[in-house]
Amino acid sequence: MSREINFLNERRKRLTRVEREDQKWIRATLAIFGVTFIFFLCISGVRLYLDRQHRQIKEAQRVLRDQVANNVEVERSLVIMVHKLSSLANIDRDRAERRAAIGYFSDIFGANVFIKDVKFNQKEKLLLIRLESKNIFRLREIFQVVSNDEVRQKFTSVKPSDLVRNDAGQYEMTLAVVTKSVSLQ
Amino acid sequence: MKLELSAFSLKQLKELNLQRLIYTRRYLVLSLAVLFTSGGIILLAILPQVKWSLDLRDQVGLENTALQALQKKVRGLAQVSDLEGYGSRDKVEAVLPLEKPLLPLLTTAGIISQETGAQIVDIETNPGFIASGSAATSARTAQAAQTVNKVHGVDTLDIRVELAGTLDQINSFISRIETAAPITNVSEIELERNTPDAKRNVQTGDLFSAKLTLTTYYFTQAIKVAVDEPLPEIGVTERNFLNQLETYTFPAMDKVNQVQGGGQEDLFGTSLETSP
Repeated sequence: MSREINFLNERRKRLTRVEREDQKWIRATLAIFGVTFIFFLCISGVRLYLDRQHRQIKEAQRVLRDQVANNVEVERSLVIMVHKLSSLANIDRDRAERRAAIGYFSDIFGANVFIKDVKFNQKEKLLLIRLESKNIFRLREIFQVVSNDEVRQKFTSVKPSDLVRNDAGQYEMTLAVVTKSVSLQ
Repeated sequence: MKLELSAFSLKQLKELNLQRLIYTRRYLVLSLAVLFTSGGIILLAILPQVKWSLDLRDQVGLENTALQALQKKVRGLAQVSDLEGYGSRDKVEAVLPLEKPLLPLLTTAGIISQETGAQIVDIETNPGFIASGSAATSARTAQAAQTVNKVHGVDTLDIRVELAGTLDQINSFISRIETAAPITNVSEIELERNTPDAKRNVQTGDLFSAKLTLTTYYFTQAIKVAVDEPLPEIGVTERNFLNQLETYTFPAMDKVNQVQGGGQEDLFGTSLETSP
């Protein structure tokens, strides 16, 4: 049995097979390149769109800033008014707390006790009330009343002190009340 | 000769082999070139652009927020005259002025004293505090500046007033002055009974003297207005105060618009003395 030996034919066959495989590679890489290029075009488009949008926003901002700058006097008067209102509301709240505290203690003291002196330190929210009474027992009652839990819950601190007898034979006592975070009803 | 031929043949063969290889694997070479080009595009063009685009998108988002804030501000400024409370700015100015309100306070105290019947016996002011910075000497100004009391961001001015009257009259004076312009806080009250026990009258009431410290306020805050800052809003407590402001009394003050006696040639009448 004879065997046909044709090296050239074998070689050609092998080269054709390699060439076909290489052609597959180039198709694959060309597909990758195509996808890459399309992605590049897309991202460039997105960037151009964002650039344009950014420029438009900046331009709109410039126009609006000009409008705001033209109304600066109106804005200034509004800002000053709001700041003033804020301060006034705080001052008024302090006064309301002070009035409520004085009213509350006036009710507790009753008619036999004379409120001789009231001092209010707005910064410290400290209310000093100087009381006067002919009756030492009435002042002792007040001392007991202001020391109870109900009064202490309504104010940050209530301290009776300086119980003295004056030249007119009346008894005096000082009540130091801190009206901070008061919940008066 | 044989050696030269073989060297030549070897070189020729190498070139021939390379060319042959390139020719036979030309598609592979081309695909490698395309692959490298794609890699180059990804690394040099796409990745930086993706990063720039993401940054730009964030920036556009921020700028858009700023734009909306500016649009809101412009709308707010256009409607500021319709804003609740903005029409009361003259009243707010009268209640909390920009200058020390000594004269308005004294005028108010005088009017309320007449209306309530509580007599003003004495008024004490502190000149060091009342004088403006420009009118004082530098040393006094420095001293006064150090001792100026600030409450809730505003400066305070204290005056002492001594009143005489019945307890009702004094109480009425206190409640009236606290609801009049300029805003005043009675920060100290010293009451003293003036009627001796023997002369007490139930109908007219006992006579008292009251030493009051009236604290009034004036606004000296430096206000900065920035284009990008949002417009301030009037809160609930501020609105409540604005409603209360309707119950305040605003004493009318005569404004001096011209210098009295100005233009006189002989202001002190010296020509009369020298004339025969």
